[in-house]
Amino acid sequence: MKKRIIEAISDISQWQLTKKSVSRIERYISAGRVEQQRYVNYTIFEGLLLKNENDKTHQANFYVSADDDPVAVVKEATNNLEYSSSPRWSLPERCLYKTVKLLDSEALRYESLEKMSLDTRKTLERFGNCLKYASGEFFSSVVSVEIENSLGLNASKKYSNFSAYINIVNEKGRSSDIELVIKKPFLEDMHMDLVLPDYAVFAIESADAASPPEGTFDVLFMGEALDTLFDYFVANAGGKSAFEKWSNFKLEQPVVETDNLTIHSVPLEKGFVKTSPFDENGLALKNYIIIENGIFKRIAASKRYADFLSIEPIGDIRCIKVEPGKQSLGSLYSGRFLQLLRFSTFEPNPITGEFSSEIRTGYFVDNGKSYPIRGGTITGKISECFKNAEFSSDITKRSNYIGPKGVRVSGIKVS
Amino acid sequence: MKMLMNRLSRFENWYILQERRIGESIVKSNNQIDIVPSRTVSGTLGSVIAGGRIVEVASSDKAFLENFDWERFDKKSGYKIDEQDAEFELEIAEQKSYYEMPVKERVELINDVWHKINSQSKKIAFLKVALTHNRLVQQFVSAKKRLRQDIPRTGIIFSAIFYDKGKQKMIFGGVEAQGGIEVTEKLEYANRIADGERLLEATRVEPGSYEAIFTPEFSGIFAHEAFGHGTEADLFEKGRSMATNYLGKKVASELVNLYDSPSLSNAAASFLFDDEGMIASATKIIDNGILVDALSNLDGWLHNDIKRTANGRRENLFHKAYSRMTNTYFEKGESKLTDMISSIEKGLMLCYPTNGMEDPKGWGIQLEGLAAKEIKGGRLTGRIFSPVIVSGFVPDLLKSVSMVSDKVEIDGLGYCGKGKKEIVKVTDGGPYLKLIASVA
Repeated sequence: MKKRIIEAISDISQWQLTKKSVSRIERYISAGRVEQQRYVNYTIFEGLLLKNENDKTHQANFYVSADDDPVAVVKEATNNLEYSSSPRWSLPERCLYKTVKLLDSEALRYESLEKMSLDTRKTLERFGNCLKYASGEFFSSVVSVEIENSLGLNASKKYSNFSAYINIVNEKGRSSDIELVIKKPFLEDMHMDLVLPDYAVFAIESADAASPPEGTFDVLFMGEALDTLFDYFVANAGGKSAFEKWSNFKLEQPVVETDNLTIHSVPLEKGFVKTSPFDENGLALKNYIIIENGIFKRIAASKRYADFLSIEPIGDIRCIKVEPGKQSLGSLYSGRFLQLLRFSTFEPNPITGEFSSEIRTGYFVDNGKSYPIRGGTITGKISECFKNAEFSSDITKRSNYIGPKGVRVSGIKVS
Repeated sequence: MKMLMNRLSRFENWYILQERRIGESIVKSNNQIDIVPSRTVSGTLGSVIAGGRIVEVASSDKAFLENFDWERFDKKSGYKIDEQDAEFELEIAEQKSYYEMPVKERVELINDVWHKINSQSKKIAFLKVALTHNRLVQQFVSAKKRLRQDIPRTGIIFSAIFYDKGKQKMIFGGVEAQGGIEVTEKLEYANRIADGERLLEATRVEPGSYEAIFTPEFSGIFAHEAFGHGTEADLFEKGRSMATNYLGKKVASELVNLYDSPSLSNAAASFLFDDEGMIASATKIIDNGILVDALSNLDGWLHNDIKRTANGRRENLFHKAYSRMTNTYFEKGESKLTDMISSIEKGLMLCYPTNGMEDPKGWGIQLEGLAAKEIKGGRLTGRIFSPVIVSGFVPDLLKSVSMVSDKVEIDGLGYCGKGKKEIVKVTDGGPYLKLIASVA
C-alpha cells in the first residue's frame, strides 16, 4: 500500500506520508466480573500534499484505509489542492532526533492488564466495605509511526501506553462516584497501590462533605486540578494563537503580574504519554523555556505556524515542566483557603482566561483544620488569580505535567 | 465476510459489524482555507458472547479477524437472548448531494458565508467557518439480522472572536443535521453575532439563586447532562447511577417529559440501528415528572431488569459499545415565551451553553454558558452577563420547572464523551424552560 501511495504522490512538489499502526488490548471489569475483553488492530496512512505558489501554499490532506484505492484518494486530494490556501510554508527537512525510551516490552501482554486489574482490586479491598470497586477499564497499546516526506525526512517511533479508568463508589452519606484515570507509557509507572488510596479517601470523605463557604478565597490547586491549570498559558504561547491574533502574550513581556512563573516545553522528558522525539510533521523536538520568571520567551509553533510567523519552529507544546517554588507544600497550608483536587471540568477559556468550575473534591482549610467540601462553584480569571501565585518546592509528575505539587493562587470567588 | 461468519457461527451469540466513516471539513478563517478530510476509519468487528463475557476483535485487516484464535473462547454465551429475524436497510437522501457539488462551489459557499458573517460586526477580530460533511456506512450481520445503513450528515459551524479596547470574547454557532448541502440553508447567525459583540460589555453575574429561563439550547444541554447520563444503564450494575433507586418515582415537575430518540427525523444523531444491531426507537425517560425508563446497550440490558433500547454506541468500531444518548430533548409544553418572560420580576435568561458535566451518582450538575440576559419587571433589560455557570442538584432544578414553552428546537452541534473519552455524535434540545437555578 505504502509503495502505491508514494507512486501516486511522487509528482507533487512537497508531500508527507505517515503510516500509523495501532495494536491495543482491553479488559473491562464491571461490578466484580469481567464484562468484556477486546483486541484492536488497525493501520492508516495519512498524507499531506503541498504546492507553493508565490507567497501562498496550497495544501491537501488525505487518509487511506485498508479498503481504499490509493490512486483515487490521491487524485481527489490533488484536485483539492488549488482550492485551499494559506500563507507560504514548507515541510521540515531531514533532521536528527534525540533518543528517548518510548516502548515497554510488557505492552500488549494480556497478563499486564490482569496485573493492573488485580492491583486495583487488592488496593481497594484494604478499605473494606466503605467503598465499592464499581468498574475498571484497562488498556495497553503499541503504536508505530513512520513519517517520510519529499525532502528526504524519515522519522519513526514505536511507543507504548498503559491506561486505567477506575470508578470507586461510596454509597454512604452523600453518595459519590469518583473516577481515577492513570495513563503512563510504562507498566512500572502504573502505581495503582500508591495513587488509588488517595482517591479512596476522597470517596470516603465526600460522604460527609459540605458545600464550600461563599466568598473570595485563596485556592491551593493539587492533584488532577493541576492537569489543566496551565492550559491558558500553553494555548497563548502557541503558534496558532499568535497567528490567529488572539494570543494575549507578547514576546519579552510579562504574561501575568508575577515573576515566579517559569514553564518549559519538555517533549523529550521520559515517562510522559506525549513524550516524543518529533512532532506530526517529523520536526525534531527539543526542550525549551517558554515562560521565564513571568516573561514570555518563545512562541511554540509547528513548522506550519512557524513559517507563517517567520520564527524558528520548535513544535507545539506537548508536555510541560513548571519550575517549583522555594517553599514546602506544608508552608502553603496557612490561613483560610480551599485546597481543590478535582472539578467536574476545569477548562479556562484560552482567549479570555475566565473559568467557572464545579468542585468535585476539595477541602476547606481554616487555621490548620481541614473540612471536606464538594459542590459549589469557583469563578475567576487566570491573569488575575496568578498575580500572587505561590508554587511548592515539592513536585509531582502527572500524565503530561511535572512541577509543583501545589500551586496557591488568590482572589477566587466561591459560590 | 463469509469466512468470518463461519468462524463466529459456532458461538451462541455473535455478530459482525462492518463500518466505513468518511467525510471532510472545509475551513475558512481570516488567512486560510483548508480542505481537511475526516480521518477515514474502515474496518470489521467480530463480537461474541463467550462464557458470560463479551469478546470483540476489531481490525482494518479482515484476515486478522479470520485468523484470530476464536476457538479458545467458550461457545456458550451464558445468556438467553431471543432475537427477532430482521432485514432492513436505510439510506438517508441528500436533497443537494454534498459530493455532487464541485469542490470549487463548496469553497465558494464557505467563502460567501464567511464574508456575510464577518460583515455583521466590525469588532470581529478572528472568524472561522467550517463546512462539514460526514458519512457513516454500516453493515450488521448476525444469525438473525441483516442490516445496512448509509447516513450522510452535513453542517456549517462558525466561531468568532470579538476584540475591543483590550477585551476579547468569543461566540459560536451553526447547524448540523442529516442530509446534504441543503442543511446549510438553515444557518442563522445575525442575532448570535450581535450578542457576541455585546459580550464585550458583559460583567460577571452576582452569584445566587435566580428565576431563570433556559433557551432551547440550554434546555438541551440540561436534558443531556441531567437525566441523559444518569439513565445510561451500563452505570446501573456498577452502582454508578442514583437513577436505579428512582425508577418509577417522581424526579421532576409534572410539566417535565424527557425523551431520547435515535429515530428523530433528520436529526444529526439518528440512525436505523445502533452499533450492536438494535433497531432504533424513541425512549421516554421522564413521563410527567416520573422517571420511567433507561437507555441500554447490550451488556447493560443483560445485567439489569430493564428493556433493551437502541443506545449501544461506539466512537467507532475500534471502541467498545456503551449505553449512550442519541437525540435527547424535553417535550414541548403550552406556555408562550413572552408570558414566561413577563412572569419574572427579577431573573435571567441563560443562553449559549458551552459545556456541561454530569454526576449520575451524586446528581450534581454543572452547565456552563457564554451569556445570561437580565430580566427585570417582566422584560429583558438588554444587560448581559458572561460567562455563567449553573450548578446544583438535578431533582431540585427539575422540580422547579414551572413553565414550558410550546415549541421544541434541536441543536445539532453536540458531541458527548463517556467520562473522559469515547466521543460520539449527539444532539439535544427542548423548549424554553422556566425554573429556579443557582447561577454564578
